[in-house]
Order: sequence, then C-alpha cells, then structure tokens
Amino acid sequence: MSFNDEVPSPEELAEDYRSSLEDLSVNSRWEITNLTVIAKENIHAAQAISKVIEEHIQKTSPLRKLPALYLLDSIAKNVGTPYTLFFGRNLYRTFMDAYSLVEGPVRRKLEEMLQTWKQPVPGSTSSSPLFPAETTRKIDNALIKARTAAVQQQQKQMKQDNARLGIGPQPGQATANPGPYRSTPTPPTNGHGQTGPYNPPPPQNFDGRLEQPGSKAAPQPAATQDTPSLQGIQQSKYQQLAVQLGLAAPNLLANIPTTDALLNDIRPLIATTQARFAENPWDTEIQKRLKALLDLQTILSTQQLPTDQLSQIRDQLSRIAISVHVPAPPPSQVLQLPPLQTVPPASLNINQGPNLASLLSQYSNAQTPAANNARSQTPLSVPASVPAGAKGLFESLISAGLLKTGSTPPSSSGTKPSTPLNQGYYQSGLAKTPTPSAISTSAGFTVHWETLGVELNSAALKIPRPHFVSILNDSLPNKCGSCARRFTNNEQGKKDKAAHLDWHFRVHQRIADSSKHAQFRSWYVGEEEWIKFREDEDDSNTMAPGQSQQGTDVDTFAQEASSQNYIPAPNDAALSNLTCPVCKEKFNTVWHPDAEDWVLMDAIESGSRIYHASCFAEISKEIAGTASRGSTPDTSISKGKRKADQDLASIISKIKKEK
Amino acid sequence: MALPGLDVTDSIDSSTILTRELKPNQEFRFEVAPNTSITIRLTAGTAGTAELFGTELSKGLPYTFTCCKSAIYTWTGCSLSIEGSPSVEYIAEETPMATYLNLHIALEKLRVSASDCPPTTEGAQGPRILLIGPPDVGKTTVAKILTGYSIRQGRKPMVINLDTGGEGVLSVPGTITAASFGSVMDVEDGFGSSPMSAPSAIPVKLPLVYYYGLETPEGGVKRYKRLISRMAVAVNSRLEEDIETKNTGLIIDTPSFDNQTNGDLISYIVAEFSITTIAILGSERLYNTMLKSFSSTANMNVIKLPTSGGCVDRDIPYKKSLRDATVKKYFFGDEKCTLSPYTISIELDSPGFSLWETVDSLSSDKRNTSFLPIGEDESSLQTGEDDVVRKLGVGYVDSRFENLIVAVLQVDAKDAGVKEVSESAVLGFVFVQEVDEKERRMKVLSPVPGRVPAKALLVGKWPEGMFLT
Repeated sequence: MSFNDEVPSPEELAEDYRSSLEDLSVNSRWEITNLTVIAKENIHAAQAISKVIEEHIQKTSPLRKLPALYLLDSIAKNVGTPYTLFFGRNLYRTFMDAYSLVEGPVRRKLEEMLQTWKQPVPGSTSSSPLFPAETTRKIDNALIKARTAAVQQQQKQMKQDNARLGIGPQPGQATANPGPYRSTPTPPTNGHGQTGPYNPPPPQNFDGRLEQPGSKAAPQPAATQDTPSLQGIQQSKYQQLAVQLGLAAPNLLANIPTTDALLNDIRPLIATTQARFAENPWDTEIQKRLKALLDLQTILSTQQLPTDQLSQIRDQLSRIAISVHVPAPPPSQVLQLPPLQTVPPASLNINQGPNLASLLSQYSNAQTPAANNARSQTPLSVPASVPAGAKGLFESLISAGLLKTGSTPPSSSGTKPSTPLNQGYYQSGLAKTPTPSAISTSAGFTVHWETLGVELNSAALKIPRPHFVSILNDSLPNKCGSCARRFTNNEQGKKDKAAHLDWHFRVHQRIADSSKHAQFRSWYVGEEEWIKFREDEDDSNTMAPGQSQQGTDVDTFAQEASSQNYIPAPNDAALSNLTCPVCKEKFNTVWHPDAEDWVLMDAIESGSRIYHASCFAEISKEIAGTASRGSTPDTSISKGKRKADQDLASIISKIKKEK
Repeated sequence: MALPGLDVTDSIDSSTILTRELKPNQEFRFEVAPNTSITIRLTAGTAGTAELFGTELSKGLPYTFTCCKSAIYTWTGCSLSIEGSPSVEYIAEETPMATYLNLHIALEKLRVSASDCPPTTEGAQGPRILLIGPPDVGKTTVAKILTGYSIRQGRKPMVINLDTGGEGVLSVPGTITAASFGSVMDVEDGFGSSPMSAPSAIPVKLPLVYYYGLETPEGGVKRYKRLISRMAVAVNSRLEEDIETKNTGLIIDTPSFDNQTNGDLISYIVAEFSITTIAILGSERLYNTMLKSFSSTANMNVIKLPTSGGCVDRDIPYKKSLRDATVKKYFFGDEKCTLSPYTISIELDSPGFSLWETVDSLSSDKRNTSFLPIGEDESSLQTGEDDVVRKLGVGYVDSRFENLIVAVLQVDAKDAGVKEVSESAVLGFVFVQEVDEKERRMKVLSPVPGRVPAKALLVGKWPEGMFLT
C-alpha cells in the first residue's frame, strides 16, 4: 500500500483517523495493525494523528482505553519518531488518566506496557528507551505513590498472619506478584521483522466472549513467560505446606481415632487453611473449608462422639488434608521446569499456539480455588482489587532483601530449586496419601470415592455433608465464564476449554449473522439416527471449517433445508431483472412446488445481495484462501476481514482523491 | 467496574433493581406473572456461586425469566440483583438441597465405579434412577438438579421424560422423550431447546420423541407401554455405543403416580429400563408400597426424598398457559431466537395423506359418536377391539381438528399400519390452522419450510386445542 503521490491535508487525515478510532472497541490485532500502517504512511500528519489518538484515549470508555493505548504503543514501537516525540509530551497525562479509570487487570496490562517503554525497542539498533526515561519515571513515581497505601495494608495483613502462624515471610507470599517486568505486552518485531505487524495480547472481554478472530494466532508473551517463575514461587509455598502436612500425616492415619488425636490433626489443617485464606481472601472455597474445620474443632472439643463418627471425621480430615496439598506438582514435573525457563523469548512465539482462551480462562480461574493451586497459574489470577498492593508487596520484599534484583527479571529469582530436605518431606507426605483406587478427576483435585460414606438409603441421604459441595464444584474447577461449563485444570482441560471458547465465539458470530435470516425448528430424528448421534460434537476440535457446531445430524437438517439453493423471488419489480454480482447473469425464476412460491433457482442471499449459489461458493473459497494468514476457519469471518480491509483501503483512497 | 460512575447498572433506573444477599445454603424463590419478565444477575465481582435447579449461573450475565415459578440456590452465599418486579419473591432457608446433593454424590460414586469397569460388561452400567410421586412435589425439579449436577461433573446423563401431562422436555406436551445431556443446560429455559436452523448460545439437545397424545397413562396404558418398550430398546442400543452416557446412567421423570393402580405401570417401567434406584417424593405411602414391592429385587435401592417447600400447587389455568407456551415455543422460538414457521396446505385427498387418531379407552365410546359426522355410523371407522390408534377416513377430517397439534410421524404414509403408527417416533409437529372441507385441504403451520413430508399423521387429545397467534 503506497499512496505517496497524493498527500491529503493533516486535518482531513486526522478526521478520518478519528472516525476509524471509534471502531476500535476491542483489542484486535488486525485493527491495530491497520491503524499503525495508516499512521506510518501518513507520517507527515504525525502531529495531528497523535493528537487524535491522545484525545481518543482520553474520551473513550474505560473498556476501550486498553486497545487505544495498545495502538499508541504499537505506533511508538513500529513507527517510532516523530510519534514518540508527540506522544512523549503528554504521555504522563494520557497514561495516568486512563490508568485511573480502568479495572485492575487492565491496570496490570498498562503497567506491563509501561515497563516495555523503559527499554529499547526489541530488534532495533538504538539502545535508548522507547520513551525518555524522565517521562516514564514520572509515571512510575505516580504509580508508586498510588500504591503505597495498599502496600502498607498488605504488609500489615501479612505480619498479622505470620504472627498467628509463627512463620516468617516467605517467597510464597509473593504469589500475587504479576511479575511483569520481563514481559513485553507487545513484542512488535519478534518473528516479523523490523516493521512487522503489531501483535497485541489476545483480546479480553469481560463477559467472557471472544470478539476478535484476528488475534487467534497472537502470541501471549505475558502469560507464557511468566508462568515458569510463578510455578517456582508456588512450589516453594507447596513445599512449606508439605512440611507441615508431612508432619501431620502420620496422625491422620492412626487406626483408632480419639478426640484428642483428631484435634491434633485439625490444628495444622486449620493453620494451613488460614494461611491459604490469607493469601486468597476472595476464595470462597477456602473460606468454606476453614469454616468447616473451625466448626469441627468446636464440636470435637465440646462433645463426646461415638467411635464410628470419629472415624468418619478422620476420613474427612484426611481427605481435606489431601486436597490441601495435592495441588503441588509431582516432583518429576518440578525438575522439568528450570529448562523451560531458559527458552529464549524469541522461540516462545512459535510455541504459543492458538491460545485465544487462556486469558479469559484466567479470569474465571481467579474465582475457583484449584486455579490458585494450578501449576501453570498466571499473574492474572490475582484478585482484581489488589493489583497495586501485590506489586508493592513484591517491591517491599525486594527492598527487604528477601528477593534479589539483578540483571535478570526479579520475579524469576523466586524460582529456586527445592532443597533436598523439603523435597523429602514433600514426597513422604505424598506417598502416604494415594490409595490404589483413588481417582484423580483433575490435576488439582482428588476424590476418594470408595471412602465416601454415602449410601443409597433414605437415612444416609439425610445427613448433611457440606464437604460434598466441593466435590460437586471442584472436580472440574475450570469454569467457562459464558455458560458455566466446567473443565479440568490439566492440559487437556485447558485445550478443551480453549476449543469451547472458540466455539462460543463462532456461535456468537453466527447468531449475529443468523438474525438476518428466517430461522426454523428442525425435524426430530428417527431412532436409528438418534442412536448414532453423539452430542459432544458441539465443541469438537476436529470440526471442518464452516461446519455447524450443533452436531452433524443437526447440521444435515439445516443443510437439507437450505442447500436446495433457491430463495423466494423478490416481489419488487425493480429487482426482477437482478443479476448475479459475480457472473453478471440473470437468475432463473421458476415456480417451486415445495416452496409453493416463485423462486430464484441456484440462488443464495448473502448480506443484501443475491448470488448464484455456485458463484458464491467459488468466491467464498477464494476469499477464505486470500484472507490474511488464514488463521480463522470460518468463511464468514474471513469475509468480514476482507470487507473491512477494503473499507479501510477505500477510506485511504478516498482521502487521496479528495486531496 | 471498580470505580463509581462506571457501573453498568447505574444507567438503568435504579428504583427497579432489587439486591438480595443470600447466605450459604439459602434459596431465592421467585414467581413471575405471565406477560411480565424479570432479569436476574449474579452480581459480578463478588464471591459466591449460585445455581438454578442444578445449573450454575455465570457471574454478571443477565438471565431473563417470564411466567415461571423458580428458585436460585447458593451453596456459598451470593449476591443477586433483580431487575423488574417478580410477583412473589422471598429467601428460603429450609431446603432439601443437602439431601439432593447426597443423592447426587451417591449416584456419582456408582458412576465412578461404572467407569472403572470394562465398557461392555454389566458393571459399566451407570445408575438408573426413576423419580416417582404425586403431582407438584418437584419430580421434574429433582430430575433437573440431578442432571445439572452430573453435567457439572463432566457426565452425560440420559434424561427420559415419561410425563405426558407436563410441559414436555425438549418437545411439546403429550410426548415422551429421551435425550443425552452432554452440555450445560439453559438457565432460563428448563431443559433447553431442540435443534433448529439457528445457532444457539446454549448447545441444543437432540431428543428422541414419541407422541402419546393423552394426558395420563391410564387412557391408553397399552400404547403407553408399547412406546416405553420401544424407547427402552432405542435407549439401550444408544447406551451400548455411547460409553460415557452408559456410565452416567438414566434419570427418568414420570407422570404423577400416587395410587395403587399405578403399581403395575411402575413395575413395567422398572423392568424395561432396568432401574436400579427408585426415588419417591412426597408420598410416604407410595414409598412403603415400593419398599414392599421391590424388597426382594436384587440391586434395587428404594429411597425417599424430601419435598422442597418451594413446590407450590400450580392451578389448572397456569399449567395450561405453560403448556401453550411450550407449543408456541416449538413453532415460534423465544426472545433469544425467533423462529418462523410456515403456513402450508395439505391436500386431504392426496395419496400421501394418512391421518390417525389415538384411542382414549376411558372415554372412547362417547367421544367416537360425537365426533362422527352426521349420517355416518361407527362401523365406518376402521377400528378393531384392541387398537390403540385408528385411521380416520378423509371424510372425518373437519373443523374439530382446528387449533390442534398433529404429530408428523417417522413412518411413511403409504406404509402406515396400526402397529407402525402406534410405535413410531415423531418427526415433528404441525398445528392445524384451518380445515377447508369444500376444497379438501387443510392449512397447517409447519416448523420447517417446504412441503410437509408424506408421513403418517397422528392426532391426539393432548395437549388440548389452543390459539397460536
């Protein structure tokens, strides 16, 4: 795209640019790339364009601020001067105004972006930072000030907890640290060359739906790079827990339970759970477990219970003990982690894969307990309302000398190989717990079904068993934000959920498309077809492009009805001489006995235009083939892209012509 | 939004928004009058989960309810915001949910051990639970809760509805249906929706449907049993090929069984579906009868379940309006997805036209003569002693069929005999708008565009006539 011959005035350009910005509602790589390219091609109007962008960031709704700032970031990194100069002037105000109006997770994204501004653009020859150090320092100072209160609050809380638990500060407390410093939210040049298209992180949308196909292949440096370090931090926490539990475990397995022994067993569990609760005060599961334990303690110390009930309590306690420390990764996996960390960032781009869903899933994870235990937890699961506090805590740990800073990003120093002592305790604790028939329903949750004392008789069903609630909810802890469908927390579950969220996205898209056409109920199927039908096809990964998500049989119905390739002939006389836009030939109008109406044969309606079905199929194929990167299988999406592409191109050419 | 002035709900007239804070194990019960609707949200940004009859609500999403009596339960405590004015709303503390959860876990335990067995063995068969009891004790609700819970644990229960008098599951009233539920249910919409051409945000379920056409099994026990046997064969064949569903087992909802005369029918269902658990709601007497009847049966659990205080007697007009709404939804869809049925005329004299009627043994003699056109006598009807359905000659098709539902069967009109028609599954339903006796045609509302397939048509007495506008 080169239009250097005709140059429109900066004012006109700015006006057009402003209207394009209005459409930038979600974090779409495609849109941001396009806007970046336009900014680059109209560098003579840089001042006007940067002003428009700044105004847009200031005026737009908080939900749209992040994509707009990503655009600023993209232009600064991919185009550079003079945009960096123009943006730099008001950077403090632009950034802080937006920062003060957005939610916690978005704030962290902004912070991550800010960190990248302090560094030179990756791949560039210049060693000076993207924006002048004094500009970013001013923002940093303001952020630190804003955090101070939260930090103090957090520290006070931590001291109280530690005093109660009798333990000192430990690296595990830093779980909440997002560890953003090493990750650039926008690696503009990696793998794409100096002027490659901009890759924003995947879009996030607070209702859990996916909006933008374009970012499907977008890398997710933040999540991927941070993961190992957080795992490390969590490991040490788990080892700490394992020490406590390992010591307590023998008691749990004593054959004859006594009230005193049970009380002894409960205390460390309560302490552990309290510690957990302190770390995750928003986690209702932990809250509930803690309450249940405290209640149990009260009952035990105030009442004399028969032996069989004591054994029941013991069984439940051992289950809780298991569920408290089971989430720790098995030792073998622990040892595999360090190499992962040494993977250079450049190759991460290759490995990231289509991970459209993971950011979204982290949102829902933040509310589920096992997510906090998940091996691959990412920084986003920090409760939204304490982002600044968490980060501040991290800084306070650095200043206290508990964490080292250095040339490597500080967050990674939390990842220390486990000491042999801890490892030993951990293993001994773990070795006792599994029984041969224990069934692990997910990576982080184990239910010992054979020990569940519930039988199918009226009396047994009456006894309230509050801990069953966690079996119900935690077996599959990884919940979809849109429809509450649940998945496991392991790799397969994540894959399934990603596919499921993609499905949501496609259905959402199709619902939007379908409102233009009349819809109808399908016929039911016969017995044979029903026997063969499998419902799970709705989320299948192996779905062919453009195929219906409702299962093959259902799809067949829809096709049966719609693929006869005729549409009712338009009543409007002006339209009767209609031609197909592709082949410019007329349609064949006939009386169709089944439809009991005049119809256009071999015709299909798309948008407001009518095509020959065969012509349309051909052109759809063509469009799908030429769509950028071919990352989306859905033809209609590709079409949308293409159309939008053309729209932008026409905007530009219009601009030129008017000049 | 964490900051003031940005809260989405602020833009709506705040006077119509109620907020209800639920403590753990409480239930928010509400009723919405017909023609009004309310929107409930599980407040975003707060802790706690909530579920409507076993199906979880997503945080922050609006759920709209109209003309229903329903309840949202929370194990954890939660905050709900309600927009609009429900006709009744209160928070209940006493619920039988703990028992229902115990039942679910007990069933789940059996499913776990079924999953451990080799797929082809008898042991791989998951629990098959039959819910019975008098009217309005919450059988369908328990069925929904158990279904929702097992879906939440990644199971695929086969849900079977044998209650022809109710609103129907995935179909219209008067049907018995079976469907495997492998994906979440629609919070707003009972058991959800059957397939349509439009995409659906909640995956649709594909039911196997039989049309019985009478309100209670008593009217045509013989045909009711035949349909059950036929369905049981299909269900068992499906389970043999579908291991996940086999491991999960069956959840069967039934019509109201509250007296001794149903004992035979219950035994029949138990035998046909190889029931392993009978759960009785709301009738101590029925419970004891069942205990006695099945005490000698191996591997049979008979359990008693408490009834929720939220169960209310629903009066006849209300039930009728619910049934009409179900039929209307079959043809026209709902707010989320509007469907466009087609008006199509059927030639009565065409060879592809074959109309059958269900025989109601309780009132057949009386009705028959009153249905006969003047000048005809009963002998002209092709009916035998034991027939459960009878063919209607074209001369008998008149305006009394207007505003009725007619089932389009899977069996071709030319092949239709008494046996085929009485046992055939259903392809769909049409609604008779007008019978033109002079022109020998009738105008029907068909859900699917194009000519109505030349299949046998079956007309029943249930659901009653209605006006679809």
